[in-house]
Amino acid sequence: MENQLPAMPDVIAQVPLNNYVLLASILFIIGIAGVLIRRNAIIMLMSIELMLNAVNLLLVAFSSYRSDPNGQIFVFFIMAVAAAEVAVGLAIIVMIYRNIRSIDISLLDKLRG
Amino acid sequence: METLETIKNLTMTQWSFYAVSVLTLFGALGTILSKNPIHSVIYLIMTFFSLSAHYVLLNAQFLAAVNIVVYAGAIMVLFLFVVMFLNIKDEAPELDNNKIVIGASIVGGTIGVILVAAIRLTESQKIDPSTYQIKTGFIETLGQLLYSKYLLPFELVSVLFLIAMSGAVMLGRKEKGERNF
Amino acid sequence: MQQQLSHILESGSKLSVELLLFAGLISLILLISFLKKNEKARNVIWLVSLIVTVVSFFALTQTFVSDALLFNGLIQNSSFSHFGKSLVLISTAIILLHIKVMKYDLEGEYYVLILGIAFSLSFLLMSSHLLSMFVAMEAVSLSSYMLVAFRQKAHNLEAGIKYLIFGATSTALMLYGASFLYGITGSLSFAGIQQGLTSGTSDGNMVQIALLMTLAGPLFKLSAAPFHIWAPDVYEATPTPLISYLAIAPKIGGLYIAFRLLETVPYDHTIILSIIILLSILIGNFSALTQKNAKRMMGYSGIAQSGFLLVGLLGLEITGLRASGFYMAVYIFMTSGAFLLLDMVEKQTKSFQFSDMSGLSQKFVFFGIIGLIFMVGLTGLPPTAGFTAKFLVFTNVWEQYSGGGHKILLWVLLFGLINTAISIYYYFKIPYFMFLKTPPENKSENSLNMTQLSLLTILAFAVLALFFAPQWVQNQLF
Repeated sequence: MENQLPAMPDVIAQVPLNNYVLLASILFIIGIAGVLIRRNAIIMLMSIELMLNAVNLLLVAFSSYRSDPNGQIFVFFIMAVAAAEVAVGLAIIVMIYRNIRSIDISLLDKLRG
Repeated sequence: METLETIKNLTMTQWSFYAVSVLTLFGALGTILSKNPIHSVIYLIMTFFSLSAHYVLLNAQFLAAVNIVVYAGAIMVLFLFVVMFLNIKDEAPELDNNKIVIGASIVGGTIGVILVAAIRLTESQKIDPSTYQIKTGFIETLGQLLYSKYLLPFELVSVLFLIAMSGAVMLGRKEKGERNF
Repeated sequence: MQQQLSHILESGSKLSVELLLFAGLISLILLISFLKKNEKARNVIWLVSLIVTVVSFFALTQTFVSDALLFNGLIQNSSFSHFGKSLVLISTAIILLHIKVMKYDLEGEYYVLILGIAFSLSFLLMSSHLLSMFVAMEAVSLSSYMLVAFRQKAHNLEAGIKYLIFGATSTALMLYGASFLYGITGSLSFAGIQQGLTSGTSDGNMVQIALLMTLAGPLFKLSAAPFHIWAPDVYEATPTPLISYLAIAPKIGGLYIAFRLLETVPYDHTIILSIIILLSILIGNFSALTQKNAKRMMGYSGIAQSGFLLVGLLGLEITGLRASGFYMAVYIFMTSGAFLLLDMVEKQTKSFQFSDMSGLSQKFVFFGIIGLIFMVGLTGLPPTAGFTAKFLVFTNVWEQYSGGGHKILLWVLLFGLINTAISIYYYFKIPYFMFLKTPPENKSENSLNMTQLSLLTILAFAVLALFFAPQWVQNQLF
């Protein structure tokens, strides 16, 4: 079984690390743009998920190219915490909907000074 | 012509990398640009699946599986559930708001320029196949690290979940006589 | 394997304070589930959380401080973290007393979240690894989001969702920066990153950008610019004792992590840090000038105070860090006192608007004088500890500058002093309205509650005493 494993994955030999960094960065910027241009709270939360996934991809890429498992452990924790954050965020969104019948952030303007 | 030549010479792995990357970005753009939240959710699920494909390419099979189970399976179902539950049909005319789009594109563009400039500067180091650990992303390696070196954050996350659970239960409670939705 | 196990067991034995807090947390959850939902049960829960806090504080004073790395380098119990943990526990106790004397009848879950913040902050204050920092910081953030949203009124939920979206975005920025630090150095621990950066030939600009993004997390906790936008909304909507807690406790953790991160990356941070400080002070002060609501004003002033807290980190000298630590200690007493004052005023006038406070001190002179002490302290004038704290941090800047530091340090000094003068205008609005304006005729006659006044007096005494005897705190500082 041991002998059948290749020395290293093809992608690491053939695709430079910079491509992954660039891909993750574009994904991250799309996420930021989503938070900035959308006013729907659920879509904003989804954009945050996109940003966190960009980070995950970056960490997995760094970790694989360096063959260091610590980065992949970090990804586990990001996934776990993101799940808790989404649960709390959605709970608040459901309560907001119950109160004002909409989840548009710009309708929430009770707090101004 | 040179570009065409490069494209012809792409290997199987490189083809799959570029194909999956295009799919990832397409899904991401679809998520933030769709008018209907349900479409956004579907696009986001597509992004998650293509990210899992990336993880497989990078030889992190276990994370690929976890990504699908946790993100596509749990988090996105939660999103879909809430979107359908609240039955949000009205289209918000948010993208027509020129001021927001201009502001956002300026901020995004600036960050983008900084990032691309920064990435240009990172040199890509050579990887030596003889010292490469193929088992990096395997479940044995990760499991052993998780339960020895990273035991403390593992326990801390469980406390975090406990606090989040007791809080979320409290948040979701309704007063007597309040309507459900 | 055997060695690993014994290391983990040995590390665990050094976490007595955290284990106590955790036991308290579990017992609170059990009490909430099994007791009836009435006022008596809620009083029991309050009492248990106060006892847990006080016992943990005494356990903390008994623990021995060592710089050894615990849990394979994930956490480190340094003397600064020891000091920070004692500040966290003191502020928790003050807030619990505030809740009781102001007769808030809060559900048990609030206390779970308050103790949860104290528990996670004590890990945040010890973290020496990006992973433990991230998990602890997120635990603090999640509890704070829920504390803000708990009341379930539309404006609480609005502040909650804004806080959550803003916080999650800055967390994502922090992680993005952190993953670049990992990519450049191949290590996640602060010591490993420092080693990788000093020995390797990494690109300076890239590291600076990564560090700047990583700072998003602690700056959000400190509500320093440019991550301050959430502060006024959250301050206005949240019940007073809870926002008093959120205004002080997370700042302790944010300050410590900002220091650790800046220390980890061995470059000159003077310009970046100075810009952050100048922005925080200017934005905070000038927005506070025009506010009509006292709690919103406190929100903007909190942004400016964060700028002053960060001044001590300039140059990363130990004297500067001591100055910031002292500032933090004084800030706890001043801010919790100011919020208690506002809460008592609100009990009299039913509003947080300045105009409704007119003439309150003509009725209650002693109350007005105590209130004046907090405002003088927040401005930074003698004879209060606020003056000593500002004096210490600015001395640090002056020493840096005269020792051949960057020109921008002079600007920090200059703007800091000018803004201290400007802040007189808005901090003294409260005493001005209370003393000098004539009260409206049709006010109902309420008398002041003596227990409330005595807690306020104790806090005011602390603010005054630390001016005359700053060594009380300074001897505790590393």
